[in-house]
Amino acid sequence: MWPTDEVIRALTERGDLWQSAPGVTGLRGSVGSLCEELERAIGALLVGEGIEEWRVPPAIPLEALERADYFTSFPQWLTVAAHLDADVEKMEMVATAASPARACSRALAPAEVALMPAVCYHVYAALADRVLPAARRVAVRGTCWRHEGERLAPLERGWAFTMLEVVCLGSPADVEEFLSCGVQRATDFAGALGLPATVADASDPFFAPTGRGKALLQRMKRLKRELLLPLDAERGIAAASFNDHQTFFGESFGIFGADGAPISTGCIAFGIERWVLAWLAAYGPEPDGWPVMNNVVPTNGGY
Amino acid sequence: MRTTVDRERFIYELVAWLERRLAPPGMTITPTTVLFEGRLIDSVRILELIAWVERATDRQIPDSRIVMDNFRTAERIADVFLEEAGNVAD
Repeated sequence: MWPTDEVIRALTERGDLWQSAPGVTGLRGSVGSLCEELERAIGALLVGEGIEEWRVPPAIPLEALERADYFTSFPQWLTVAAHLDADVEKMEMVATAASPARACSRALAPAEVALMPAVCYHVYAALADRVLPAARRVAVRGTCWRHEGERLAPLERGWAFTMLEVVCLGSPADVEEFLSCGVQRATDFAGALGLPATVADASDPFFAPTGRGKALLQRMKRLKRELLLPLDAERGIAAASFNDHQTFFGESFGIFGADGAPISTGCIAFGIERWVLAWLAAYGPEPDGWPVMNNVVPTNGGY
Repeated sequence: MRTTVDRERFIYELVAWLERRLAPPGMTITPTTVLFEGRLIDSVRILELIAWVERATDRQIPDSRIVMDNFRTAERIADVFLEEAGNVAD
């Protein structure tokens, strides 16, 4: 295994990795191509017969996150998107400031949207307040934003990172089968890349005061599992997660099944940059040490 | 060692507490009622339940012991945590 700090240092020194702000990482050269290739392979892994592919908006209304109970779950991560106020005095203040860049923060209009913290919220918001006559599976992707403060680390924990997700909306049995299949396919995919994966029960870092209760319930009911890829002999990274929401989003967004009951949902999410890091930890920063990525996506079916 | 009387009293008091805190109108909780079916226990109630058991056994429950199987029913809670407390404290 290659120590990840040495990998990041090597990529940075040769200019293939840089940050425009802490946790906002760019890639180019061979590692940029690797990231593209892994994203294509994971994208192919997630689609299949009967799966809708959506291009979602890059931002989400704060009201949609409110409906998802986001502000009592993970408010500490949220990145809102505000534009500059069109008020003439404020514009003049910015334009004539000694440092317009620094003056911008004093001229922001109230934010109405957030940069999405997870892609799947768009699916529940778009299907809100309706009846789904049959189960649906939706593949979505995009750049997600979670500000985790001092924990930010290039490729490992980005403020911005690339997430590919499939969401299942249907009966509890539909979701159970979807997640079970997803665990197997993701594990097989990691194996085909030569990355030995393990699957572990997990919980989200919910915000206090009921955070501990939510996390304990999540773990007790095995509602969240993670696919861990090794970074070294002792440390793994959660490169994919398998989440059973039960009827939480069905109730929150008023999405009902044909029987009139709130639907169950589940999602499978892949963090692309973490797959890149696990690959680099296994094979090193130099592309001549990388195996060829052939036939890594199972051809049988989809989710 | 804990006695049979201790266990019966523990279960009786736990069921009474569960009835007060968890049971919706018209529902009866018994020592064998499965607590994690439906929406009996939410993120607040689980903490209250853990706190109740910790107070009753005078022993902190580590997160590693907070698994579904150990909290399945009032009887199961007694079997797991009363026994553990007895082994340590007595």
